Amino acid sequence: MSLLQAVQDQFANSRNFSELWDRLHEILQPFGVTSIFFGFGHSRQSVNIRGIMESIWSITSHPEDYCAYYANKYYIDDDLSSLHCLTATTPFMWHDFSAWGAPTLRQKRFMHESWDFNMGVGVTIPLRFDNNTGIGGLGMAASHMTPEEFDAMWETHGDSIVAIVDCFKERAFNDCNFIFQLSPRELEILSLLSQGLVPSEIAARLGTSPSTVGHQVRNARKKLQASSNEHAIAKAVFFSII
Amino acid sequence: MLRNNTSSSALLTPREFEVINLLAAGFKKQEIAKILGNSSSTVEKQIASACQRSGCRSSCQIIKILMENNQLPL
Repeated sequence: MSLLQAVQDQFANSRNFSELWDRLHEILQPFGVTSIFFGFGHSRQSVNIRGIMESIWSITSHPEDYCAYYANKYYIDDDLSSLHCLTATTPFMWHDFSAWGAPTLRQKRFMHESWDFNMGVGVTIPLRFDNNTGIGGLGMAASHMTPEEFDAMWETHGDSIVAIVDCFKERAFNDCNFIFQLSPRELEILSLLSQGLVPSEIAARLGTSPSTVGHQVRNARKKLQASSNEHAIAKAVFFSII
Repeated sequence: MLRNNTSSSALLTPREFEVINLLAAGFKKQEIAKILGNSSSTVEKQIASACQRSGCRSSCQIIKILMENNQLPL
């Protein structure tokens, strides 16, 4: 059995997204990958006006202190590897400064300061789905490797890693609710909202109280990482879960 | 009522469409007012008028129908 077939089987047997996420880490760890960021969004325009982090759904195992620093001090827009995902589909090496082109001052500072967190070596692989309207990316850090070690590893295993990430993407987006994990009731409520019902009508239809409906809508929003009911509906429709 | 045809967004004025588009992108009404240089109450009125024109009961419903017709997201 080929490595890729084994990976596909492992991914296919994951019962939920957390398990799939764990398996991805186990599979990439022998290549020197220490932590991963996975994010995707449904609207390019939203990314352009609202900023990437406010528009995408994301999960990460990057170190907490690095994420806090990143969230407090920088917009993801200062991170060229993320911007790269919007326009390109080729892997982006974090430590290959020639790939950074002509960075802005903030981008330069981000590039230097990420080394303080041992987050200077790694690669971001852009992802496309849903006829290319959906955009995402998967970034992986190799905190214990030098750029030279990483490049040598990539020379040998880069193609396999790209194929592994593609398998992960296929499994994850096969049914998007696999990622979001909305309950049947939360899906039902979103569907009723999208049919124009207001929460009090939904409560009456489902034989429950408006405050319960409100609670379930907030939960659904949280799982979808949506900032409003409208945003939640847009995501749910785009990712075909309602 | 908006139906499955290609011109459903044409039922909305360009401004109304823009407001709905920004709602779908996750902006709150106050933020939309700021982006478009309007007051919050103007945005409320535009949403209400978009509902009336399209025969929909809420902005959520308009978003769903526009998306199903591939007119959103941009």
